[in-house]
Amino acid sequence: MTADLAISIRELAKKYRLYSSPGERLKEAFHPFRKAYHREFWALKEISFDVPRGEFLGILGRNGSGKSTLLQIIASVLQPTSGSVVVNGRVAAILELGAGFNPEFTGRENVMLNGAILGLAREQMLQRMESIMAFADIGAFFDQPMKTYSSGMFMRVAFAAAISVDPDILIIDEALAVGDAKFQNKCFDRIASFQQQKKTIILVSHNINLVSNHCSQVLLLDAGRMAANGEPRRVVDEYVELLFGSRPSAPASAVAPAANGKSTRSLTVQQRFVTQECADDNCPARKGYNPGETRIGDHSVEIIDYLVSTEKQSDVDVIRAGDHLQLLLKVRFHEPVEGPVIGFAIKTVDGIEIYGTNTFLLAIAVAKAAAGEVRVFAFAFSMIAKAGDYFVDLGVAQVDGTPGGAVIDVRRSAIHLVVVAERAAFTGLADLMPKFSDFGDEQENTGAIGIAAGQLS
Amino acid sequence: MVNFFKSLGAFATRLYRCRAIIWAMAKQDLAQRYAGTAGGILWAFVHPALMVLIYWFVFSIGFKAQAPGHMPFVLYFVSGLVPWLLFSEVLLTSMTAVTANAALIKKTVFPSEILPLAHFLSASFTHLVFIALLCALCLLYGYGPRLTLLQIGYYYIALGCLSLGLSWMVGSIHVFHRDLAQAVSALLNLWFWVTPVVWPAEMIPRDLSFILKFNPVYYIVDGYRSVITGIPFWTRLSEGVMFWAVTAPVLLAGAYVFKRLKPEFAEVL
Repeated sequence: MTADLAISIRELAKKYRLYSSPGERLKEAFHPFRKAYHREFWALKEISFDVPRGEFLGILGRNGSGKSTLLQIIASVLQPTSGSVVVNGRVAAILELGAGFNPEFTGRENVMLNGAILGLAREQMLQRMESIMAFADIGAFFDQPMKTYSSGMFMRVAFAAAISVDPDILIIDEALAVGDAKFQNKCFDRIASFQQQKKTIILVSHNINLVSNHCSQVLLLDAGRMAANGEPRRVVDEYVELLFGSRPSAPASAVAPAANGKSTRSLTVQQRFVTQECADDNCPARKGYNPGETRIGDHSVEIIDYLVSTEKQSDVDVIRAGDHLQLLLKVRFHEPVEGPVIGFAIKTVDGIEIYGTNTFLLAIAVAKAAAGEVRVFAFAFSMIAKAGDYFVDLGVAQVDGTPGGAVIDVRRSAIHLVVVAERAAFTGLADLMPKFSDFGDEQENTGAIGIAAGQLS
Repeated sequence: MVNFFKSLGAFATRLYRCRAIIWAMAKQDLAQRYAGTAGGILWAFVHPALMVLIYWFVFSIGFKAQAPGHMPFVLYFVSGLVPWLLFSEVLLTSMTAVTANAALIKKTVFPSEILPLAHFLSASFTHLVFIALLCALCLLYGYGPRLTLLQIGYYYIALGCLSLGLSWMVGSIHVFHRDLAQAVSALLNLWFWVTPVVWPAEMIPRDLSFILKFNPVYYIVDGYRSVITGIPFWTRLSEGVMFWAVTAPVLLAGAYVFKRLKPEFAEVL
């Protein structure tokens, strides 16, 4: 192995032995003829990859895909069953922030003990204490028992302690999901400085934006095997596909534009959506359907199907920030409705509505519906939101003069959409797409106004 | 066989290299007992003092029990009890040490074999307090300081070897067999009563007294008493040989079992 590699793993496999009772494990360990009492479970198989020094490796995978086992093996907490693992340099593993911290002791005492466990001399720890305190930034609480800490303070001290050992390889297992944004930012600043010092970082996270924004190499595990390894964007795409079962988007130019400028393939899906007779409720068969939706209404009118399409494909649940979406609703009217109101709303995971509207608010008169009629409605809009998870409400109401109308059928959080972005160019929920001009220079001044005016017109 | 000793050698070197962690863990263990109390470390003195005071009151003022060789009974009893308390405490705390530190073992690279050693060291603090009290009690009864006091050091190390060996064994097996904790605490109770701590060894008929030689704790208990009786340890040669014949295999086996089971800890915890 060359000195440029921080980690080199070849043909790694990890077998867990499952016993039906704790006694069998003991019997096997001391059996004179090595009789096997266990059933096998391969948590990892055929894992081979290299991590060059200074690389920021992200590890993605579903729950139970072997991510944590892999980290534990790299950190040498667990022994591999077969294969070789070569790790170059001191490893600091944040497999769990604050593992072994004693709540009865003060932050300072726990940090000292943590340092001793990680193999640092007392003097070294005392030298670093100042910077650890500054990083944790919890003031006088540092000398209070940790049981008096808020969970955020606990994490601050734990993270500060973990990175203080000055590792060559830093392993982080979903530890960064804690703390406020400012502290997270601080953590990332510190991680960035690690990177500049040519140190290697391994991050396990479910947050695909975090991974695609920071990592230089991404490894995807699926059921204990390597599903992909390499350039972040490609691997993240594969991960999303693995998660939601969606096909990667076909390039728009590959398909000849049809009459409405959209691809023929998506047109057929949409045409089929419009024309096809469908069951009582086809929503569960659609991509992104959220089984945890809540439904209100009297069922005299039912939303029986929906379809989310981008310009490139139909029936999607993972979209890129800024994509133009078409949301189709199929509604069956069991009873006549004089003035139907069709609406939708998009909410964040935290329940913040980023947008919501309906035909009444838009001042669109929807033709009255007769009993037994099935009709399809469509909203087209741009999803200019930041990356993340969103839930879509769908609703049908009757005009009654109020902004929302009288509810007939509302399916709250019926669709779960995931918006991905290559990089975050803004903070907040919506991309307002600002244009920037610099008025500092006399000459540029007129030009900038010209540009601005040109764009405004 | 060569491999066996090689791996034990590696085990010992590892313990030596981890001495800073052992020290830190021992201090933590001690501090943890009194964490959150206003009295703090003072309790480490108050408890033993009160205990000795009670025994003194019960056996000297109350029962007026008689020990062999016209020794005051309270001296006989306390000198036997002091090493026993260290032994049983180390064994009981070490047994659950691995399971109690599951977070460290699963989530960090932690040398779990140091835990019994750390517990032995932290328990030694209370032990020292007890020895000081024992000396004070001796003075009170007119047994002046003797040179044999120094051989407590030898018996202390002997006790350390015995309890470490047993601790490694029960501590590692306990990870897989939680029943062990119950069994060991029951056995310890039995062991206490078959060891002449409360009762004089002379109570056993002369032709059966050889049985006592098989009890390694008796060798130590009697050794601590020599502070008072003044019997030098080299005069107890046959007992000594017997003790080490039992303890050395226990120590090696304990280290071996622990080393053998350690890789599985993180999987089971």
